Amino acid sequence: MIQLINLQKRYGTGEIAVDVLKGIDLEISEGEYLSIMGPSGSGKSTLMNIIGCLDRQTEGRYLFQGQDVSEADEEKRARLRNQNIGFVFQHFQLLSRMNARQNVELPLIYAGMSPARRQKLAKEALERVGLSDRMEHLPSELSGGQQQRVAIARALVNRPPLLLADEPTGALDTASGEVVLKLFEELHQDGCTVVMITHDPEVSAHAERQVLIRDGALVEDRRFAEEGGVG
Amino acid sequence: MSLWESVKMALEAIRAHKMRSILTMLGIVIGVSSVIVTVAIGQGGQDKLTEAFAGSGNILSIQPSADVFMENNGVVPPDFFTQEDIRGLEQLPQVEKVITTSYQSADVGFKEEKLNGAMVYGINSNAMFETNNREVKKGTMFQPSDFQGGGASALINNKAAEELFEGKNPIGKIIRINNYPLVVSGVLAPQEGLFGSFESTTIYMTDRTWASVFGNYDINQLDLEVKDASQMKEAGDRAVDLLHRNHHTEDEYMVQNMEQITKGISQVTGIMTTVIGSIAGISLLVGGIGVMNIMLVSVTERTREIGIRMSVGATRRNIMTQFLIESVTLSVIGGLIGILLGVGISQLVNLLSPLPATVSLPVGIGAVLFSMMFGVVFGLLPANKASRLDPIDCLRRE
Repeated sequence: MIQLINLQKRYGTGEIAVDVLKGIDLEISEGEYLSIMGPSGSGKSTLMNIIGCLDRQTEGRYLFQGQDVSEADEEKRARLRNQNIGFVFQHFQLLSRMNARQNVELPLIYAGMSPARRQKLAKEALERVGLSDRMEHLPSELSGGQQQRVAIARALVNRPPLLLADEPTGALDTASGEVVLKLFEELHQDGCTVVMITHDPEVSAHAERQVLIRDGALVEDRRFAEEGGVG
Repeated sequence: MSLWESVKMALEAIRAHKMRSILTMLGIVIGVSSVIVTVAIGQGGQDKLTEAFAGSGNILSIQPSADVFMENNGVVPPDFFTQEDIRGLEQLPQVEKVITTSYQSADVGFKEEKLNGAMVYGINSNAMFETNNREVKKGTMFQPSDFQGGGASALINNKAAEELFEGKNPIGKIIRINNYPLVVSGVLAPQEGLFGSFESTTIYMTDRTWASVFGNYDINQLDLEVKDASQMKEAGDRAVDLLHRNHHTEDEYMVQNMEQITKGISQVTGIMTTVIGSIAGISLLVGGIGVMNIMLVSVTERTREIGIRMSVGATRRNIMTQFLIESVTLSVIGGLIGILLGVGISQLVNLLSPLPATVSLPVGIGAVLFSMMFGVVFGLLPANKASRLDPIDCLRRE
């Protein structure tokens, strides 16, 4: 599904240039549950932004479902984000003026869906994350865990094949974090590819495959098979 | 995303910052309403001026050509219009009525009082009073029978009444012109409008009486009331033809069409309205810059929102459209309020001041289109700025 070939990212030019990613080679297959681990400043967020088509690499190639998306124009990348990628951020990133349902509808608006259909899908998504009784609440009226579940509903409402999560439990207490991770597990069971960034080994342990990044380079790639074997 | 949904979204955003939106709109409101009021007053003034100069109705005037005027020291020569001419003109199918006016200055006496150099008019109908909206304030107007017979009655204007009778009731009193006795049958109310204050001491009588007083039928002014406004040109041409035939000349008569005067007036007032309107337009410009300013603030404030929208699939064009529609909505609402306010103020001006104010529909439509255009023009910069933001930077904002 995702192929990263010698992916590099440099900020700035000349003497003050900083290499954040120094040639990452990574392949993610359909349906995998992968976590990207690394200390802060290791470049894992940059990597996620590139995978999520929010950023472009300076060197190397990024193939999404066989297509080189770094060559694509903004319009095409926006459509890709809309149709194929669901984002979950550490700080939820909900629009405070809109209630939960309206927030979840947002990707569908840009998909050009009719209001009636949007509402139906948004309700289904919120039911799926267990918030059927909180649909008309503003984010400020929800707990952190509930807000993150709204964000997950928004990420999955368009049924994207790829879910990208950046420290999804970072701002949550343990119990709320568990709920979120359980949702990811369920999505993974349904065949969704989940890529999660975290610096917490405990969270990372939920994934089937662990990638470790340090100083912009991939240093470890471990698979936990279902029987517990190491790949 | 449909246009209506975008507008709804814009309205929500506007509602979310009520106070700020109202203050922003205020600039547009003041700009649009002041343009409407100035143009309305300009238009009203033009109508009033035109009426004062040209009168109303389908009137055209037959005059001597410039050469004839020069030869006669600027006076219409005697026998320039004859009774035969008048009968001929009355036969023309386009002509409703021939209006003749004779005038001469003369001394007027009442007992021992004497007024030197009053203007004495002989008229063949009340048309002159009707076109100028003049009425008697005392006594009676000339009746149709007065124009048939040669009764010796006279109407005097307010100024003549004051000077001759000094507050006493002039009705029924006998005044003398050229030793000819005339009974005062009415006093005209002072003339309203622009030229009222220039009115001189004036006496009016029927053309027959005038002929008896001055011993001639000389006509100084001849106007034609035309049946239909579309026949003005034809009526004028045929009248001049007829007069040329009657007098065996080719170039002594010409038509003074009020249309030319009207055109001249509207040109002058048009320029004035444009000048004042442009000054009012500057306030509209300032209002537009206010919209741009607030939209720029809004973009800065809402960077995180822009980032979120981009991350869920909004294209740069979506973002641009969103902010453009927001600024257009803001301006159009302001424009509509401005129109209401402008019309209201115009009505108030109409009611409370002597200035007439006529609001015209095209100006209203123009104002809406203009504020729409303003929304686009002044929304372009902020919208463009919004669409160029980097989603990652936006999402990093708290």
